Amino acid sequence: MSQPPSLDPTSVLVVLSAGFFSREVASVVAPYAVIILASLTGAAWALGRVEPAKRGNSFAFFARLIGTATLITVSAASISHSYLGVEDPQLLFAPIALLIGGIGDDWPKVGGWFVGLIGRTIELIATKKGGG
Amino acid sequence: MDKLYLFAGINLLLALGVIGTCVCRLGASSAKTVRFTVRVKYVVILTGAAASGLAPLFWSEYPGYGQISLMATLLLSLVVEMRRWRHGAPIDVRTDSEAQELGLPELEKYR
Repeated sequence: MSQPPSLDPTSVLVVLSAGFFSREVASVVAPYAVIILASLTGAAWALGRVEPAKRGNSFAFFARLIGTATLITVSAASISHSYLGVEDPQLLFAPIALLIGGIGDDWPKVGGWFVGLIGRTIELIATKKGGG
Repeated sequence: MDKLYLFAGINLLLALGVIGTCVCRLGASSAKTVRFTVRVKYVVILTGAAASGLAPLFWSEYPGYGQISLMATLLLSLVVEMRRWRHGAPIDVRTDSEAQELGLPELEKYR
């Protein structure tokens, strides 16, 4: 006969904690430490820019941005490190995650600015060619 | 080993309390109406608490009595201010016109 598991709060906390902080979980989560912390900081800043009426649930806002940063940062760093001349893509994790979190819900505005920038550049090139 | 996990669990629970409080306070603070230094304070505490609570996962670093008491103190210091933040950002941390119009004697009520 095996003993029934102890249900006192301390034992339950130890069991839960041992599961959460296990080596298997740590091996998966640890590489994302910088990304999670940087996107958390960025999201905290971005939250201040959102109008209180449009804000909704702050916890959902943080979860959305940290999730997005976790999914995108590694790929974005791998793609951009050669263009930026940075040897180790890991060095770009923190700034990219901070940027993703910091821009927050303003990505459409950034897209508009980028399209405008391309338009102005094309216009400038056309003027130079046309004007001589 | 059980003690390590117990301490890590307690520290994480305290950190979650700190994180939750900071998220609520930042949620009640708009960049337009709340002082920059107040927002910096909660952003820094939020990131520090997250790093401390998840340190066993991130860096295999387990908390001891010192770290737990520091986290408990931090949580307590936030909890004692809870009444002030019940109806949004307190008037004395705001920069908008409503806060300016009320003036100093009125501010004392909110402290």
